[in-house]
Amino acid sequence: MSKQNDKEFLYHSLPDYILSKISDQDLISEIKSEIENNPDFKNEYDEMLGAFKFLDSARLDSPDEIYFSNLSVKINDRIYKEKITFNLFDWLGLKWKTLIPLSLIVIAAFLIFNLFIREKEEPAQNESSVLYNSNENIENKGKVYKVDSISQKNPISDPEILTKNKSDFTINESVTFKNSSKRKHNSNNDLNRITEVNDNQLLKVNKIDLGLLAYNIDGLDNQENELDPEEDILFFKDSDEDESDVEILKLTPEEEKEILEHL
Amino acid sequence: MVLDHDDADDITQEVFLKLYRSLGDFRGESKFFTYVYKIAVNFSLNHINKNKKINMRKSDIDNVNIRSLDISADEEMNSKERTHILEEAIKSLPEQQRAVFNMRYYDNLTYEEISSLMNKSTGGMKANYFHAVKKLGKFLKNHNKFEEIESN
Repeated sequence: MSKQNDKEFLYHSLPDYILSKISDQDLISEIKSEIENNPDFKNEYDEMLGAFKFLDSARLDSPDEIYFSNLSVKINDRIYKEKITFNLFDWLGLKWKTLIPLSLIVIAAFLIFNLFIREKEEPAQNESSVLYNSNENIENKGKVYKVDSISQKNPISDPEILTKNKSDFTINESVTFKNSSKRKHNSNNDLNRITEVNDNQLLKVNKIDLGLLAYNIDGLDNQENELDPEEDILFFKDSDEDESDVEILKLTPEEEKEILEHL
Repeated sequence: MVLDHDDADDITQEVFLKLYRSLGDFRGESKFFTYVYKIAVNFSLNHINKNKKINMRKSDIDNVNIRSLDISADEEMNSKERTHILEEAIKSLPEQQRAVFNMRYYDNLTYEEISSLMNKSTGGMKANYFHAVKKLGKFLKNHNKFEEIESN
């Protein structure tokens, strides 16, 4: 240790020397000799001694005993208050911790579903337009046709083909098809058959005799006939000249069955 | 360390609340006393830092009072006055020196303990204590308190 460091160390040990907190006898004797021989050191010592004398004479106020007895009550009270607040925040924190990832997962799942799954489904839907039967309304250029009891004579004059429906139905002319003929199938339990229709035609398959009826939309409102309750409706808009219907209608039951099985 | 009973009361409560909250963080690597004391010192130093400007303004006002006390230097200095001057003297210290002085003089902590509490070297803490006492001596000398003590 250099002399300078030695001196510094002696100076720094001066307060402890005054308060007799030094146990090292060598250090004590060294400080004593320094006080005797070094006037600067002596001045420092005197100043510090005076300060300590003052500190000894002046005591800082300490709180009354009652303060300490009340302190635990105060702290307990604050802890209780904090506890209530903390539990609430803790609860909220936990909720947010779970809610945020959950909502992110839900959003992600929704986006994935929309972007990928629906994209795959849409072309399939376009190819096979599914028509749902019957008691549902289908808009037709804003018009709703209501038929309480219909028994349509086949405009093509096929007496075997009947239509009936005792419920409301509407006709949708706005159904569009990509191809000239589309596969449509009825989701109704009564009609699980599949048949083919031409443009602007909607077919409903009779579950009993598989007869097909096409009728003109224009004549729909005024046509009323008794319906056979055991038959379902076959429909749809048609032009009388449509030969494909005629062909279908002229099929024998065996041929129809074969076609349907084929489909 | 904060020299105000209300502030000290607030800090004490805060320290116990902090302890209550973070008791689980105590690993037992140091003495529990050191752990508690460290929290208290940190709170006190934060409080001193926060109220530094306010305290400085207050001490300016109080210095005027001290000077007015000097006028009646012949009068016997009662304990309240002494306490007041001591408080002012301690307030005049920089915060770290004040903390070290309190720890060493009033709480009789060793330099090793102080250094671990303040995260500083032992020599540095010893120097801090020396400078704190020196400054206190100068403050009292400037206010002619040494003579009064001598005469008393």
